[in-house]
Amino acid sequence: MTTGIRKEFDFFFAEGLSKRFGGVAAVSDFSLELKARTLVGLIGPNGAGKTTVFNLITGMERLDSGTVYFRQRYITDEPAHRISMLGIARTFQNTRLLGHLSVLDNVKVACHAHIRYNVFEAALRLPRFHRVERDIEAKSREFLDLVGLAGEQQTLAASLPYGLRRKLEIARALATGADLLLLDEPGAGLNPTETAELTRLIRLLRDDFGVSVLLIEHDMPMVMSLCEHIVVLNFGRTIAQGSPDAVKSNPAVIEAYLGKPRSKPGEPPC
Amino acid sequence: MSWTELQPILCQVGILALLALSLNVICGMTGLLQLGHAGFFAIGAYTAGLYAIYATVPGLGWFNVLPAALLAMLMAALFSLAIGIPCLRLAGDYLAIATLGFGEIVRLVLTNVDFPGGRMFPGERIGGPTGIAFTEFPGSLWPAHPHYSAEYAGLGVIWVAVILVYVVLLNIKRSSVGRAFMCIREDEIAARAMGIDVPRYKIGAFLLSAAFAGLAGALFFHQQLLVSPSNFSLLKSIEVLLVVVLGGMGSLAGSVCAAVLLALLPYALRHVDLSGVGWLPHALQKPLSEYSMLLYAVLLIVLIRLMPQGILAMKEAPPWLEAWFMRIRGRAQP
Repeated sequence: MTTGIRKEFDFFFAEGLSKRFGGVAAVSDFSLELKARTLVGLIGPNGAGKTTVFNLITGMERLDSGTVYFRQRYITDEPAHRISMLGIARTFQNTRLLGHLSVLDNVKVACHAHIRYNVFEAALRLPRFHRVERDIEAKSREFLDLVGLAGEQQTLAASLPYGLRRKLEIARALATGADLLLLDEPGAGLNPTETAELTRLIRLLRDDFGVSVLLIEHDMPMVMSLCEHIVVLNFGRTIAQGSPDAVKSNPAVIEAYLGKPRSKPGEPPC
Repeated sequence: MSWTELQPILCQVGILALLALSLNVICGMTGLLQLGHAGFFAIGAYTAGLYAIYATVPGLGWFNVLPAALLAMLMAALFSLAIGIPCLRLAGDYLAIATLGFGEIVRLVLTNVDFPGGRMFPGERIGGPTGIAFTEFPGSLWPAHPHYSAEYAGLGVIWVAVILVYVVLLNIKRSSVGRAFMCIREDEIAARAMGIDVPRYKIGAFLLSAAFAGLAGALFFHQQLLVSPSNFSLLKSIEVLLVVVLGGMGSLAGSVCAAVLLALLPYALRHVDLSGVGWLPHALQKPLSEYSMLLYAVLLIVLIRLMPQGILAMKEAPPWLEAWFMRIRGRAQP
C-alpha cells in the first residue's frame, strides 16, 4: 500500500507493476511517476515489456501486483473503459482503427464518454440528441484539423495511407478527452518528413492542449529530441532512467542495445 | 396474382423484414453471430397468443394489438437478459452455438407445455405441438370487431411497424449507441480503449434485438391467429440470417430490401412461363412453377457471388441515391 503521494507527482503514479505470462516475467517491479504536461519516453529492445506496461496502465491486462494512481485516484484493477473515461488514452502499435467507418466517425466514437443523452433520446431524436451530436461533430472536426486530416473526413479509415492512420489514431486518443496519452510507436513506418511532422504534433499537444505523453519509440533521434525524461526497459526491468543525455551515455543502456563487448577483438557484438 | 392472394404474402414479407431489422442490430451492427432469433420470435408470438386468451380487453377491440405487442417485447427482452448475461462473454462461434441451443430449447419447451384454455377455450388445454389457434372463430379474438381477420388490418399494422422500427433503429445506428455497437464489431480492444463498456453494450444490443423480434412475433400471431412450435425452427433463424447477410451486414435498408426480395422471389418465380421462348432448350420451355425452389437457390448463390457484401454493403442507400440526396440538400440550404 502506497501512502503519502508526494505533491508534485499527483498527476500519475505507478509503483511495483508486475506481470507474468506463464514462466516469463514480462514486466517486473516497474515504477513511474509523471508530472502534468511532460513528455516521457519509454524505450528498450524488442520484447522488453514496453507494450505490456501500456496494457497494464490502461487496464487491458490485469496486474499481478502493483498500484496505479491517476489524479490522486486509485485506478488499479479498474476496467479499461473506466480508465479511458478517467483520462488515460492510448494508441496501438498496429493501429486499431475502425476500418468500415469513416474517418469522422472514428473520432466521434472516441467522444463516447462525453455523451449526455440516452438511447431513447437517440431513438426519438429529441432536442438534446441534436445538441450533443452537433457539439461532438464540431469537436471531432477540430481534432481532425489539428492532425491534418480535415480533408479526409468522409474517407473510410481502412483506405487511408499508413501515415495518416497513425495521425487518426492520435486524433482519436485525444478525442477521448485524455490528459495522459500513451503512444505506442507512433513513428513506426513513417518517412523522415512524416516523423518531423509527428514530432511537431506531439510537442504541440503538450504546449497547447496541456496533455502529458508517454511515448514508446524506436526512433532514437525523435525520442532524444522530444522527451524530457527517458525510461529504459530490458527484460521487463527498468535498467536506467533520466535525462536523454544521461541515458545515452549509460553503460547499461549501451549494453542492452549493443551487447557486452567480447574479449576477442574484431568480433561483432552478439 | 390478385390482391387477396398477395396481401397475406406481403404480411409475411413485413414480418420477415421486422425480424431481419432486429437481427441486424446484433449480427450486422454489433458483429455477434446469433442463431437463436426464432426463439425470441416465438416468445413474442406466444406472449401475444396468451394475452389474447387471458387478457384481451373487449372494449379496446382492435387496439389490443398494442398491449399485446408491448408485453411481447418486454417478455422477449427479459429472456434475452437471462440468456445474454451468461452467454455474451463467449466469443464468436461459441456464442452462435449457445444461442442456437437457446432457440431450440424455446421450441422444445413450447412443444411440450400446455396452458389452461381460459375463458376463450373453457375446459380445454391449449399449446403443445398444435400451438395456439384462433382460426376456427377469428371473430372471437376481438369481440368488438367481429370482422377482424388478416385481410382487415394485418397489412397496414405490419408495415407501419416496419417503418417505425426502421426509423428507430436508424436513429440508434446514427447515434453514439450505434457507433459503440459498430466499434465493438470492428475492434473490441479499440472499443475498450475508447471508453466503451463492451459487455454492457453487447447486452444492450442483444436486448434491443430481442425486443423487436418479440414485436415481430406479436404481429405474426395477430396476422395468422395461429402459432405453433413448428413456425420457430432453426430454419427460421437461418432464413432471417440469410436476409441480413444478403441485405448487407449493418445495412438496415438492405435488410428490408432483401426481405422483400427473398420472400417475393419464390412467388414470382412460380409465375415465370418460358413456353414460348424459342432459343431455350426444349426441357425448359414450360411454366417454371416446378423449378421455382431450384431457381431460388441458384439465384441466392449468384447474388452472394456477385455481391459478397450484400445488396447495400453497410450503407443505407446506394451511392447514386446518396449523391442525389446530398445534391438536393445542398440546394435546400445554400
